[in-house]
Amino acid sequence: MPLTLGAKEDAVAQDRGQAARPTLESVRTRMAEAGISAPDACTAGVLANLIVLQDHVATLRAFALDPRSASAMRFEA
Amino acid sequence: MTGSPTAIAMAAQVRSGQTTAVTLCGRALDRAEALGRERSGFTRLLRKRAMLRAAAVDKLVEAGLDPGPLAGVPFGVADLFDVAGEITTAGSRTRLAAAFASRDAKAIALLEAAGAVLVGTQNMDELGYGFVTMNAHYGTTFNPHDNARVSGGAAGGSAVAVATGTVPISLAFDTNGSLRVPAALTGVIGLKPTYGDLPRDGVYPFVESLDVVGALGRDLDDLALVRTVLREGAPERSDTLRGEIAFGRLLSWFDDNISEEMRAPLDAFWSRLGRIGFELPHSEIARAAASVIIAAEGASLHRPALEADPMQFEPPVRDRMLAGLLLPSDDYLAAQRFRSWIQGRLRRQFELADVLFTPAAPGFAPLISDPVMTFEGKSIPARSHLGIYTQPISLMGLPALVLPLAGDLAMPLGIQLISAAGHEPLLFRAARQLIEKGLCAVPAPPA
Repeated sequence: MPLTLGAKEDAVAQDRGQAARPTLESVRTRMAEAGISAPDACTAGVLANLIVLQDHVATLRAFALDPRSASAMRFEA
Repeated sequence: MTGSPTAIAMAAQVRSGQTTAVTLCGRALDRAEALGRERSGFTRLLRKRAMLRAAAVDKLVEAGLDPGPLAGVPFGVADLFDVAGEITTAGSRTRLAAAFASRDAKAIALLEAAGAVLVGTQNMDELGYGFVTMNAHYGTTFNPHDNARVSGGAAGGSAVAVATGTVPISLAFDTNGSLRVPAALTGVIGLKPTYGDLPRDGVYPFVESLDVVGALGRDLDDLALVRTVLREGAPERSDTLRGEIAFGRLLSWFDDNISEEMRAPLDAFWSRLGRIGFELPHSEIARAAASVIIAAEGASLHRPALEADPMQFEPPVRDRMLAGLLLPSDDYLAAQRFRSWIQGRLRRQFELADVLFTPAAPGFAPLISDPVMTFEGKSIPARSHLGIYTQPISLMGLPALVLPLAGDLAMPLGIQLISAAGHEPLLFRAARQLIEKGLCAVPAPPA
């Protein structure tokens, strides 16, 4: 069913800020881009861990803390 | 092991000439040898060094001099503290070609300056990345209360060395629960100080914005003394509170996923303390932020080894590290920003209660043959999740003291006491009160 203009804008808005799930292929590409040469046997394990991390990142992003409301560079308790 | 003498009692005997440091250290080394690597928690015994130092302590006593408040007390350290002339393995074979440490970690030097004697290094999860002390390179450390169960981690060897009575104190580290989880599962006391309170010099890092040096023991006064020695007389930030301590239990995140065996003893403990409960908003986000920070910093630290040969790492650690390398910097910075923000909010929480408490781990130690736990109804790896209640506290930089719950329990269960930053004296006072009330006690493992 064709989207009306308004519905398309909503769909774009929903996708905004949501990371696509990594795949075995994207993990291979990203590791290569990061300069890491790991045997293919590692890829599935890395993917599983990356998905866990992505869930943590989604939890963080959902909180939407204003970047100016706290420093990212202060390390004392 | 309640029958084993405390460090303070040992030192008193050495200083008074009732026993010698050589006797105490020889006994600790013999016991570690007899138990073996898996049951003693030690990976490397430093017999020659220890006996030389013990003899030096005895010479001071013979000369009428005072060797210090820890005279002749044997202790161990997790294998990420530098020991002069040894390789700091951090539980990883990626470190086997590293240079020998040129000097002892500062924390070791301070304890030895107070008369204590280092007898060996102790097992840990590889690079500190795990909660089970099942190390592919250096073996699995067994829980002394049931050898079929994990000791917890990452500093499981340090907790087991204390729980078995081999040494009265161990120095360890805590990034995200590394000493609190094994303290809970093996039934000993664990001190995770305020971030930055104790010296990290010469301790191999894992996550610099979370790592702290801490200690494990069977006696509260022993740990208080170790802390005093390690702080070198630094003034306390505060313990102005007098009179009754107000306890509060943290709920929500810290009340979910508690195992059946923990639920009833925890509720009974809470009832004895007045059943006052608090929410700690955003704990789940704190755990997420801690996980992101650990993944990013840990991976960055070990990037050269990952580039050189990722297959040197044990698979679970390797895969977590490689995933950490792929995290965008923006996500890491968001996690750090959240950390600053929640620390500011938390200060207000302690206007309502002096000491907060949570379980230190969800329940009994998982089985080595099937190291899993239940989280949100699913069975998941204990290796990466046993610290669900310790991780948010690490992110906040707060001090915590883990105590075993008293009672006729099949396995140890630990409570985590938490105070405002810099209020460790209050934590010790609260813990003393709980022990005196019979609510907490260090259990003896089966013979």
